[in-house]
Amino acid sequence: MMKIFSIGDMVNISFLDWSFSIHSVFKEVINLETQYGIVSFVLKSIGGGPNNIVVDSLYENFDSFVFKKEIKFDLSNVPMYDSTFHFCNADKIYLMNNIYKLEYILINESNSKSAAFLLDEKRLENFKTPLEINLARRIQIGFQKLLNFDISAVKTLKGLGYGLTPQGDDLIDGFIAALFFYETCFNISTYRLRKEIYMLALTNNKLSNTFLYYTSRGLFYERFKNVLLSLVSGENIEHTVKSMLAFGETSGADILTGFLKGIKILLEGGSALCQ
Amino acid sequence: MPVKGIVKKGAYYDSVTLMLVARDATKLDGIEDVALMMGTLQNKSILETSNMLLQEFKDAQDNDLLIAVKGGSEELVEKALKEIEKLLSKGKSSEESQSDFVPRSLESALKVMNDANLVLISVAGKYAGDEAIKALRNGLHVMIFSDNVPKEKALLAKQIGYEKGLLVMGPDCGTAIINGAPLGFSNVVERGDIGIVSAAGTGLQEVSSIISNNGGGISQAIGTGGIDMKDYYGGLSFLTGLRALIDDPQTKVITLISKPPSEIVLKKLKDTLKTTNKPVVGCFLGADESVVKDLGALPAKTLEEAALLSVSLSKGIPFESFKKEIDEREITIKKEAEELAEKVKQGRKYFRGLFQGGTLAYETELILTEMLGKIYSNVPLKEEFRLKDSWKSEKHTIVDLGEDEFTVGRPHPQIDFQLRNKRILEEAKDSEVALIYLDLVIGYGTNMHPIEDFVPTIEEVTKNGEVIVMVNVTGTDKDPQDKKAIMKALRDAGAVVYDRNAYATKVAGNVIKLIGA
Repeated sequence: MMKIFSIGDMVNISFLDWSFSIHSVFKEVINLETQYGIVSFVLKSIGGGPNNIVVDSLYENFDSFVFKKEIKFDLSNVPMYDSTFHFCNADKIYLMNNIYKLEYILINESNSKSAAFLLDEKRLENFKTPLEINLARRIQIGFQKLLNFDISAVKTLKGLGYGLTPQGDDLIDGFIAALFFYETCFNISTYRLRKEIYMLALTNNKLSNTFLYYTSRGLFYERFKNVLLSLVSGENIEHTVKSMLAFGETSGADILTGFLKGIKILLEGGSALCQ
Repeated sequence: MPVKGIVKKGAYYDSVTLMLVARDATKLDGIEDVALMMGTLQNKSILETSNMLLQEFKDAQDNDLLIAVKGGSEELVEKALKEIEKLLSKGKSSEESQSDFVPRSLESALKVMNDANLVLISVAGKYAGDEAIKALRNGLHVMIFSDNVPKEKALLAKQIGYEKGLLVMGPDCGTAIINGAPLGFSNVVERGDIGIVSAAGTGLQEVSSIISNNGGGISQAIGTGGIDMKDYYGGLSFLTGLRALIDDPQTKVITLISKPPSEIVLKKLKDTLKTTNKPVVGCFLGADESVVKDLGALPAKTLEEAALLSVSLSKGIPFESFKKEIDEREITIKKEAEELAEKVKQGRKYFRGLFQGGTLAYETELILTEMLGKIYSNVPLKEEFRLKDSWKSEKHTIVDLGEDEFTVGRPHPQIDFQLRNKRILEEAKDSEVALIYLDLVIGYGTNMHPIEDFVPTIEEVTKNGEVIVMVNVTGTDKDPQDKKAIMKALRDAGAVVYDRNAYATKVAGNVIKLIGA
């Protein structure tokens, strides 16, 4: 019997009584398409998330559950994963110091093909073929526009890059997270901007839309939430960042790059632009 | 320059797969650029800028995979596209196979090849048990590469195999050599009269490679997967494998490799071994010699000893003269260590081992614990020496990078060196580190370009001469990566290079002892 360790606070468990289908299957994640959106069954190594159900084994009995609907879950005693992030009255200088630590780890530890070249141009040497060079340039130009709060750049970035959640999407996700983080730390509303970026970024990539939806509402996956908590507390920064970097080939690094660039602009005074 | 491509409708691949395949494909002869991207508007625009947007891509959707190749000639491009499809079908994370050219069931596979007698099963774990049972009921041997197989199904498969005398290698069996055919991660070894049963994957690779490199040959190398020796499974696959080797006329010497088996398994092994007069070498890493002797087998303390003893027996050399040779060799090991110890900069004292192979890490840990005492690890011999944080070394440390904590979202370290390379550079920055020890397992299934992907990191570390880098290469000269060239490149890069893990570990242990850590 599949053991459930935690259930995300945004999972509407009513989906279990309705029809649902498999969206995509990976080694450690099975994404289901339900009438309430994407619900992901994930292994512990992936961790909690607003729409994640963390289980001990993905494949044992899963066919009975998905295809035959023979298995009923007892969710009464399953802990809920809290994806919200609360904090206030951050010390700007303390935060900036921690953000520099994050930047150092990102530049030195992230995948050579990640978007961390936005932090250190020397890393552009890792992009060798004409296609890779074009991709990197397009990301550079698009993201710089977004950093200038020209949100039309979202259309340029969205869907750009490899994989089911392309690099451009991850950068946007990180940037939205920076807006929310700034709002939480300094009590300055970024709601309108977050919502506009999310609306502009919507495409028919349901998985990517789901990630952006939750981030735009300040709901975070466990690994990312841990990074944010370590930045305000100053504890375990290296550990949480490395754990985030192990997420996907470049996804973790790209989200963090988007976040880092965004929060630096905001802390350096760019908040005036976003209001 | 010709560009060709294909659209795969609704094909979900993660970025790990796409980037690795694109990287490998770009290295193919005459290929200038390769794109494997989802068909988003933005990606299509990038392709257009790069002169790689084909007419057939224009209607593709966000969920379609676009594959485009630019190269020197139409022929080379066509060839590369075929290779990419092959690489994708190997690396596909999703369950469904997209290929139209392979049979989709065991039944149809048997129609195509009706004289087959072994089935390699590598489907999602939940299905693997049923497929194995189906194959066994058809009288076929099985190798189950898959893990996460429901344990009741795995046990049933092993029981059927045991009763019918059919091999059940696995679940989670990564390596075997059957009738000369390498399966999974394995090396190209000489054929001969030494048969191996192993419940340790890289242990089997190390022993079979050393045998082959030292004039011996392999009749059969049967992997069982590590879990087989657990009480629940009772070593059923190991016992079936052993019986097969006892009955095999090509096998004259039998070599057993495992971590120490339980009492129940040992009793069954003893009963089975009573039925043969063939010489048997037992290497139960970490077990007392008396355990092996009690089975009526000749004890080997290390994988290297197991291999060399097997070769000696195969060539008719008695056990005593073999032991004498091994004992005398300790002098050479100490001499090599003395020379290396002189090069260590004062203040540096710690050993750091970063491993691709679990069994190799385990063996090194056993040897060094005996020589140096406390060894910290993410897979410690004693719980009290578990690393607080696997990403951070403490004093003498051994890290098995093949453990789940390091493989989340990325390929195994035998395939992708990136994570270990970073860790090597990190360890080298630690002013207390004297020696960095690394294994490099080559052969089928592993990284095909170690010179490009691994050697530059070694060069980087050794350039200021402050840290000794020791590399043990597991593999043979016939492996596809060119072992000789790799060893030369590593030496040129400043590493001390060996091709036997136990030997290399002893040299390393002596270096650390000599510098007084």
